[in-house]
Amino acid sequence: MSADLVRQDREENVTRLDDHRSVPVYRPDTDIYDDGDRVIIEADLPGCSVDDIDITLENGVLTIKSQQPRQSRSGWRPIYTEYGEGRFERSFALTDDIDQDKIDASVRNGVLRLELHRSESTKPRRISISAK
Amino acid sequence: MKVRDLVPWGRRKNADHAPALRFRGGRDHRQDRERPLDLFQDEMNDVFERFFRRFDAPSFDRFGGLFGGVPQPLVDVSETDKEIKIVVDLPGLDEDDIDVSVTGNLLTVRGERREERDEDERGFVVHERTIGTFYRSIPLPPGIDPDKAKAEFKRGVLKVRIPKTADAAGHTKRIEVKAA
Repeated sequence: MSADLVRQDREENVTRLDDHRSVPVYRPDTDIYDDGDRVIIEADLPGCSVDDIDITLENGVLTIKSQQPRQSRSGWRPIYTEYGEGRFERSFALTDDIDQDKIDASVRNGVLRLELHRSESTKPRRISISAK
Repeated sequence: MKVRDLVPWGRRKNADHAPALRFRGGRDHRQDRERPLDLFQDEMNDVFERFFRRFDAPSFDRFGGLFGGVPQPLVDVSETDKEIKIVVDLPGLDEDDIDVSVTGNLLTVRGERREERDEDERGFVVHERTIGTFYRSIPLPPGIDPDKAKAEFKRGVLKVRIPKTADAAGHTKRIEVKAA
């Protein structure tokens, strides 16, 4: 299932579509791990608060977006820059075994943590055999 | 531009000969202002490098494989007439994990990002975020007063503001050129 969980796009940190957008869109670095009952997604969104982050789930695709541009330099002259002014965005295609009604999200120190729970019905079950 | 520079292979290997601030995809805006044509050339280089990087080293990820695997946070430096501001992305750290110091004209930020997971959560599917110690030195422009530097850490972003000295603030000395 792991391969299905994320649409892999490892080559660039900037979403390729950004050529067609007015604001550059950056793909946050993300860890995903799986402890059996849950899948945890942790994404680096430096500078973002709870209010800045928009999480949507549509047709099994979970999308993380930051509302605010990455950084506003108004009033400041750039001397040296490594990241541009832009937004974060990344999508994950969820597999069917994730319970879409039970997703917990929290933000701490610029890291978004999503806990996705496996739905009860798809957990592996042991079927007991009764001797006759 | 030398002919050799037209060959994109291996150019990144020479990256350490670049001026101090021209690495890891960052852009030195002071050079941009002085030499606008270089800006165009840089953009073209970026296009080529982005393409050829796929074939070059397996992964120069954002936290620089170039630097022997020491994680390098992203840095942004900007200024007003009165002060300069250094912004460093340090998501997932607490302020206690970060050490900021100024030595001479170098601002050094170091710290450690610890893995905060329980043992039972270790089945990684994707692992892109960097953990461990990091270290980054940022050259500071002249005419600032490091004793009055202030640092704050909020939402995973470190901001250091250093005021310019009274002499340097806002005035550039113009030198008259006389005909000999």
